[in-house]
Amino acid sequence: MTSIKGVGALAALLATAILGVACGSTPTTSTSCSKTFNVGLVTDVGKLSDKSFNANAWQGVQDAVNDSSLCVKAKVIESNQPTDYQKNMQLFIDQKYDMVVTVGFLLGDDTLAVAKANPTVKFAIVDYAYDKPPANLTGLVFREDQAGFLAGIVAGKMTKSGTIGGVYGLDIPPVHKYRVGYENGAKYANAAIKTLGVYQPPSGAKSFNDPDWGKQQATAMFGQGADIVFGAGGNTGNGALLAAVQANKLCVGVDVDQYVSYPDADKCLVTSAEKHIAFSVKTAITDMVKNTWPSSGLLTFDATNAGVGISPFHTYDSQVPADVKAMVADALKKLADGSLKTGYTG
Amino acid sequence: MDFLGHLDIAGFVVATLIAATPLVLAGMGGVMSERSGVVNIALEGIMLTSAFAGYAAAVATHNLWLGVLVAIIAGMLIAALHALLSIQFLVDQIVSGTVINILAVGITGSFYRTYIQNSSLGGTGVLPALHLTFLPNAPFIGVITLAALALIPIVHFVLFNTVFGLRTRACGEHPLAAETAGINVYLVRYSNVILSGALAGLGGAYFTLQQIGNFLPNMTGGRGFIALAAMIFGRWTPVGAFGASLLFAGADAFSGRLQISGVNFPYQILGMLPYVLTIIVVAGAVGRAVAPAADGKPYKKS
Repeated sequence: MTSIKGVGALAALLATAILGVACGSTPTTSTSCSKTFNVGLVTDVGKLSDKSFNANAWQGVQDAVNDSSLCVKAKVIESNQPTDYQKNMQLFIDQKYDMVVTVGFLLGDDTLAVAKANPTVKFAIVDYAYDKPPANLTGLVFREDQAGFLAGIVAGKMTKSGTIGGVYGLDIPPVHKYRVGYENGAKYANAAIKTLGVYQPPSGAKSFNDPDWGKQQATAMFGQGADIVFGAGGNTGNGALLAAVQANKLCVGVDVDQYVSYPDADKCLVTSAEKHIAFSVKTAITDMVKNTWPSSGLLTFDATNAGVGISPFHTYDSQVPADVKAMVADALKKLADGSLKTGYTG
Repeated sequence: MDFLGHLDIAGFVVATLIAATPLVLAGMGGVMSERSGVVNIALEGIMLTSAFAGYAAAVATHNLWLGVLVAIIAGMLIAALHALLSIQFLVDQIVSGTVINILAVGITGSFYRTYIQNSSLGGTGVLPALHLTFLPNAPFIGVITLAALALIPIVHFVLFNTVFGLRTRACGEHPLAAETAGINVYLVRYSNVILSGALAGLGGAYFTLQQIGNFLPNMTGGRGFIALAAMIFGRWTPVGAFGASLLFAGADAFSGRLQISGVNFPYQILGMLPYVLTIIVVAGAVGRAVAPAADGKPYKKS
C-alpha cells in the first residue's frame, strides 16, 4: 500500500511522489468532456482499509469517476496522523483540484480552515455539519433516526422474547438519533416490545473505544431477556455484537454493512442500520460538476433520497419472513413521503 | 420501576467477576512489586503491551494459548525494563513507570497502524469460556477470569506464608536490615517486579484473548490505574485488592444495569467511585492505608 512519509521536504516533489503512488486513480475514457473535474479525497487516520467511512467515501468518488457523464478524475491521500489533514488537503489545492472531499468529524476543523482559505475550491465533508460554513463547503449528514427505525422494525419482528437491546456510544446527536429511531421502529413493528438501552458514559479515551464494556452491557441485557442487540457506538458497539456471537443471540450493526466491515460478528448479524456514504459523496461531486452546489452548506441524506437504509440480511436472508421485508420497504416509502415519523424531534 | 423484577443476580455477580479480572490481576501485580519496595505505575502500560503481544502471537500462530503465554512473557519483559531502570539505574520509580506507560501507547499504537489496521488480519476468536448453564440466563465465564480467581489465594499465600514472601516484605519495609540479614535485595526486588509483570501481562491477555479477540489502540482504557487504586484500597494485600476490584467492577456493572433498566440516575456518578473511594482511603478517613515503608525508595547497596 501507499506510504506517506517525510512530510516537510520540497512540497512539489512530495506532492508528485504522493500523488504518483496514491492508489486507485482512474482515468476517464469519455471523449465528450469539455472539462475534466479533479476530485481529491483525504481520509482520516482510519484510512481506506477501514471498510467503513473512508472506504465507502472512496467508493462514492469512484462511482463518480465511473459515471462518464460527470467527467471526473480522482485521487486519494490516506492520512497517517491528524497533523497531516491540512497538509494533505493542501497537496490537492496546489495541484489545482476542483474539489476536495474529507471524511469524518476528525477533519471538521481542518476542512473548515482550508475551505475558508481557498474559496474557489469546493469542499465536502462526510458526516459533519457546520453552523454557517463558507459557500464552497458543504456537510453531508444523515437521518440516523430513519436508518435506526428500519433496523428497529427488523429487530422488533425478529425477537422471540419480545425484548430488544441497544448498546450505544456517547449520548451525542447521531447516536441519540439511532437510538430513538431503533426503539420507535421496534415499537412500530410490535407495540408490545420492551426496549433496553445503555449509553456509554463519557470516559475520555474509552469513548466509542471500549468493546469490553460494550460486551458486558449486552450480556447484561441478555440476562434481562433481550435476544437481539443493536451495537451503535464504534468499537464499544462492536463489543455488543461480540456478546451476541458468544451468547448465540442476534445482533444489528451500524453505519455501514458490518457483515462486510466486521466479520467477527457475521454469525449474529441480521442487518445493519446504514448511512449511504458512497451515495452522499457521489451526490456532492455531481452537484459540483452540474453547478447545483447547495447554498445551504448542508446536504441531508434520508429516506427521500435513498440516503439511509438497512443492509442485506446475508446469511439471515431466508430467516427474515417476507412480510417483515415488505414492512421495511413500506416504512421506507412512508418515511420518504412523510406519512410516517420516527419520533425523533430536534 | 421494574428494576428489582429484572435483577439478574447471577448475571450481575458473573459480570462483576469478569470486569474485576484485569483489576485484580494488575492489582496483585502492584502488590507484589510494591511489597518489595518498587512502585509500579507501569501496570497500565504493561497490560496494553501484553494485550497487543498476545493478540499478535495468537494471529501469527493461530493458537490462543500461545498468545496467553506470549502476553505473560511480554509483561515480564516490560516489567524487567522497569526493574532495570528503577532498581539498577536508580531512576525515579514514578518517572520510569510513566515512561513505560507512554512507550506502551506509542509502540502498540504504531504497530497497530503499521501491521494490523491496513492488513486483512481478522479477529483471533476468544479463549474458551465456561458456560454456567446451571445459572439463570446461563452466563459465560472466561478462563482468564477463572485463573485470576485461582491466583488470589496463591499470591496471598506466597506473600504471607513463604520465605520468599517474608523476604519480599522485608525488602519493602527495611531493605538495609534485609541486606544485613543476608537477603539479596536486588534479586528480591527484580523477582517481584517481573512477577508483577507476569500478573499484569495475564491481565492484558484478558482484553484481547478472553473478551474481544482483537486489538485496539488504548483498549485497556486506564484500568491499570484503577488497579493501582484497588491495590491501595486493598491495603497492599492480594485479598484486599480483590475485594476492592470487586467493589469497583460491581459499581461499573451496577451502573450499566441501572441505566439499562431505565432508572433515572446520573450514571456518571458511579463511574467516579474508584477515584473517590481511593482518595477517601488515602486521606485516612476510613482506617489507615499505609504503604510499605521503603515503597518507592531506590535502594543502593552500600
